[in-house]
Amino acid sequence: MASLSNTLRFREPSVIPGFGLTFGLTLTWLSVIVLIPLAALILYASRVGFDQFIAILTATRTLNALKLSFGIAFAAAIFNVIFGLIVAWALTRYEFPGRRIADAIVDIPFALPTAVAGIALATLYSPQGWIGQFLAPLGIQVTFTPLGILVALIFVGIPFVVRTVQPVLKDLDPELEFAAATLGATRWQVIRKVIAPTLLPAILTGFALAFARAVGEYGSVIFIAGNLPNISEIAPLLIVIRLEEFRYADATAIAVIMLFVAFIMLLIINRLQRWTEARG
Amino acid sequence: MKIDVRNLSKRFGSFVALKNVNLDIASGELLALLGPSGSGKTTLLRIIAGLDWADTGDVLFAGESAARLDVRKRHVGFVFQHYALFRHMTVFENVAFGLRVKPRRERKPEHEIVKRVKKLLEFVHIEGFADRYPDQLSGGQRQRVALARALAIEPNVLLLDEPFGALDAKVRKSLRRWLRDLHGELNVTSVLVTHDQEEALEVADRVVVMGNGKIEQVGSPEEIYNEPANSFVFDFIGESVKLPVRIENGGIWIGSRRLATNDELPSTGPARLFVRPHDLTFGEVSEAPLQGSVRSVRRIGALSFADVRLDCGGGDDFLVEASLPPETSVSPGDLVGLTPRRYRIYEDGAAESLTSASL
Repeated sequence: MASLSNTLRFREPSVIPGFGLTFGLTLTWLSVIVLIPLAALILYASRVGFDQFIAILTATRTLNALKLSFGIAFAAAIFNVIFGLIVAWALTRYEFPGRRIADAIVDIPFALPTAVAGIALATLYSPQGWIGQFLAPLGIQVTFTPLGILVALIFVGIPFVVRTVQPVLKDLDPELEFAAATLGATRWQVIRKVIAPTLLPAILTGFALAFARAVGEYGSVIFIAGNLPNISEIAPLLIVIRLEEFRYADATAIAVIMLFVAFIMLLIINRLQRWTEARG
Repeated sequence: MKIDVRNLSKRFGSFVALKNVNLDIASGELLALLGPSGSGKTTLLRIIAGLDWADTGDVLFAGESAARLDVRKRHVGFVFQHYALFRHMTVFENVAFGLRVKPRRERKPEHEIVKRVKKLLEFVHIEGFADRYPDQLSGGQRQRVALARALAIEPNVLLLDEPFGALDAKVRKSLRRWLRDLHGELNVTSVLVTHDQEEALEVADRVVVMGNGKIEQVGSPEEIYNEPANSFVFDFIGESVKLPVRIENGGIWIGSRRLATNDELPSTGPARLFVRPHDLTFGEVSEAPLQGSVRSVRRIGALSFADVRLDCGGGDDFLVEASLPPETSVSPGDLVGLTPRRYRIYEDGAAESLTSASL
């Protein structure tokens, strides 16, 4: 018993039971669903050989696909943060007819098969479509261009931002805004100095989720993008194409690099989030 | 700054929060708005601050209508019950907030802001906590920060909404004294909203008792306690005993006994007698106007109290706590007589006192 306090323990003692069970399940689940498939992927990629790996990655078509995937996903996430904030604000701050219905509609991109969304968007934004017919005279071509990919990725990402920001906004004490106003702050100053810093961690989480979702999105994009190599061909599609050509080495190499870049970006966002929370 | 409240009325749906309220707040005084919840005191405070709007009526700041003045332009220091501190800012930045958000041409240079904030933190005795975040402070410290933040803008008036309501009894008491001293030093016109009568009577120069959206009485703490203007104030302030009486044949009758009165009473009918428990003296059972049996006796330090069950006729029983004179000793079961030394009589349904007596 005397050695109890000196030994390095795996976990701190706690009155909350169930550690063994939940930790075991967590490890098993993570291993079966996430870690083993990812490890297999990396293992397979490691057989490719370094020179070939570099050759695959630096091929123009691969580089363009990666740039397109990450670039447009980033742009869509930025757009979703701004637009999602406005939607969350309207849904929490104001009482209006149909608010509950609008609130429910936000979740539809979660539930809708992404292929359906892609076909619907492609139809709407095509030069003859309901929306596309107004854009065409302005010289804006949405379908079969990177712009179409952006539209699809905005569609699939918006609920992530709304749903992460909404509860924080709801819990924001109105007295904070009153206090700031009595101290002479303008409405803009209240938003910038009081509301925004409080929402920042939630905004970053929403951004990370929307971004991650957009990087991996496949179904909706391929119907609207046109999939022209080097112009509107996303990396996930390139992987599928390589698989269909039985070029497994190419497919795994692209997958590994996507995995790596996504991991680094999510890690950075996570760090940023920690930093904003630590100040509070 | 002098503040005049003129004919203010405010409804929330069908609930009437304020009914034609008039109030003059003198420059430099510390005024307490005292009342039970739902009496309209917080609504009145928020309308003065510009955080809420009246349906009719006006608030005058130094004689000028403030109705069209935005909350930002009123220069009111507002202290909230739950502090409303900015959690992502340090104590220093919280206090500096009001100085930093000023328009550029009115804003002081950084070194003057630093100097002023430091002075304020010293003033409220939290100079050692400048770099901490609000979550790292105790409730009492947070409210001091909130007060320093409100004072930073050199407010025309300081408005405090139940500022000590969320604190424990001991801290509340010390902060109360501290607020009193602080007001003595600053002399800024201050309005304190509270439901705690002890707080209002101890801290304020003048007390406004509110009930059901109306002002029931305005006066010094002594006046409010000793000369309650009506039955609502008598009932709300301090301990009181209400007994049913009848006014017949020019006298006050409790059951079959007559209460000694100085004046002849014209009115006839049921009324209520209000008396403070400490104004009841023990006397002879046969002579005293009230009689009852002792239920229990308690000794708290030097004082003794007896719970007496009074029989006022008509089958109603009233339990009264009366203080025992030092030399008397009673035990449970004894029949005792009680005489009200100071009391007020209110006719049923009427708020104004019919008669009062100090014997």
